[in-house]
Amino acid sequence: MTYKITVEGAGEATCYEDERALVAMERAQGFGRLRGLPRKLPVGCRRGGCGICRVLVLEGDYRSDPMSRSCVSAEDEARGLVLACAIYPLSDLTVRLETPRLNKPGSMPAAQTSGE
Amino acid sequence: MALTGVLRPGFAQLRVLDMEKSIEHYTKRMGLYEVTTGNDGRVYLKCGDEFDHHSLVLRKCDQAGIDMFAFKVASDADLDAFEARIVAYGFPVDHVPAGEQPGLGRRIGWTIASGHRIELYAHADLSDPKPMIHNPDVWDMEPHGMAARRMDHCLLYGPHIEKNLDFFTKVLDFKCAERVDMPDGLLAIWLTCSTKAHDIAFVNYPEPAKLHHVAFELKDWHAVGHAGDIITRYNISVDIGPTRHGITRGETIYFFDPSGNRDEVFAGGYTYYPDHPTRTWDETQVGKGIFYYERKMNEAFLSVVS
Repeated sequence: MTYKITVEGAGEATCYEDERALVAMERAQGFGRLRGLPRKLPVGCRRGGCGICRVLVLEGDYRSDPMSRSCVSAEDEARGLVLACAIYPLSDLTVRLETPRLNKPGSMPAAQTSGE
Repeated sequence: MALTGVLRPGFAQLRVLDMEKSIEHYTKRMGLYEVTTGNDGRVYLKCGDEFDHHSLVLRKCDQAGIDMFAFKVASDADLDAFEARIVAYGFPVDHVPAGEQPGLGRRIGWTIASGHRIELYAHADLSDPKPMIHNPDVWDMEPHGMAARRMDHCLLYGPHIEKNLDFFTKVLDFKCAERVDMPDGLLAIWLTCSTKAHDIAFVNYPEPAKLHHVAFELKDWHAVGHAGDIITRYNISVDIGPTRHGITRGETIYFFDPSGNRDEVFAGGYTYYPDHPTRTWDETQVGKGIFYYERKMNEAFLSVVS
C-alpha cells in the first residue's frame, strides 16, 4: 500500500505504509521528483523535536507521533500544522511547506528539577 | 591533587516525548544502563565505565530539550565557595536538597546568560555497573550497543555566549580551549575544566536554553564505525558522520534520540592543559573546524536544535 503526497507547487512523493511523510519526501527529492521546491527540503531531527519540517496538511488523513510543543502547539496540530517527520499518511495527502516558527524568548518551558 | 573545584560533567537531564522508546534508545542502542526510576517518573541512566550513580536523567514532557547540565565538584566546601562567587557575580542561586535525584547529594543551581540551568553537586553514591577496582578487568559488565563509556560534554545554543565565556572562566575556573570568531562577533566557544578539549560548549543563537547535543565517549575510531552500523541497522535518525571535527579533533557521529534531541558519540580529541593557549578559528576555515572532512557545515548544524 502506498499513498501519494502532493507537495504544493513542488511535486509528488510516494509514501509507503507506516513511513514518515518526511522520509518519503526526502526520497522523492533524491529522485528529482520535487523539482518545484524553492530550496532544499528542510530536514532536521526526523523525530518530532526540532520543528524544521513543519507542513500544513491541506487534504488527507494521517496518524501522528508526539511532536514537541515548542514547535507545534495543540491548536496548530488540530488545524493540520504538523511536523512532516511525525505524521504517517492514511490516505493521499496534499501538504504545504511552512517556515518553522522561531520561538519567542521565554516560550520554552522553565527548566524543572522535578518530574511532570 | 591538581584537578580541583569543578571536576567534570556530572549529568544531563533531558526532556523526552516517549519514555519507553527513549530508554530503549539510550540502553539497547547506545549502551547505557538503567539505574533506577524515581517516584516522579524520571529515569536515571549511566555508562558502564562511570563510577557515579547516574549521568543521564530522562524526564517525560511534551517538549523536547534539556532541563539542566550539572557538574561534579571535588568537595562539599566547594559548593559553598562557588555559591558565594556565583552570587557575587550576579546570578541568584537556588538549592536542591540531597536525594531530590536518587543517589545525589545537595545541589546548587542557577541560570546563565544563554538561558540554561547549570548545577553543581559534590556527592554521588556509586552504582552498578561501574569499573572494577581490585584486580580490575577492563570491564565488569560486557559492553553492548555503541558501548558508550561516559557522558562527556554537551553543546548548548543560546544568546550572549560572550557572557557565558566570562562567567565560566572567571567564576567556575574553566579555560577556553577553542573559539570561533566571525566578522560580526563570537560564534562559538569550547570550555574545559579538565584535560579534555571540552567539557561544555556554546554556540551563539537567538533563542535561549536550546540543546544542540549531549555527547558520549566511545573507545576509539572503530567504535565510532560500529556505532554507525547500529544507527543504520536500527533506523536511528542520523545527522552527520562518521566524520571528524577539526575543533577538538574528535571523531564523531551526530544522530537523534526518539524525541529529536541530538546525541553525539565520539572518540579522540587532544589533551588540554590549563597553560595551553586558546585555539582560534575564523570565518574562512570554520567549515573545516566543525566537520573536518566535509570542510563545510551542514545545514542542520546552525539551525536544528531542541
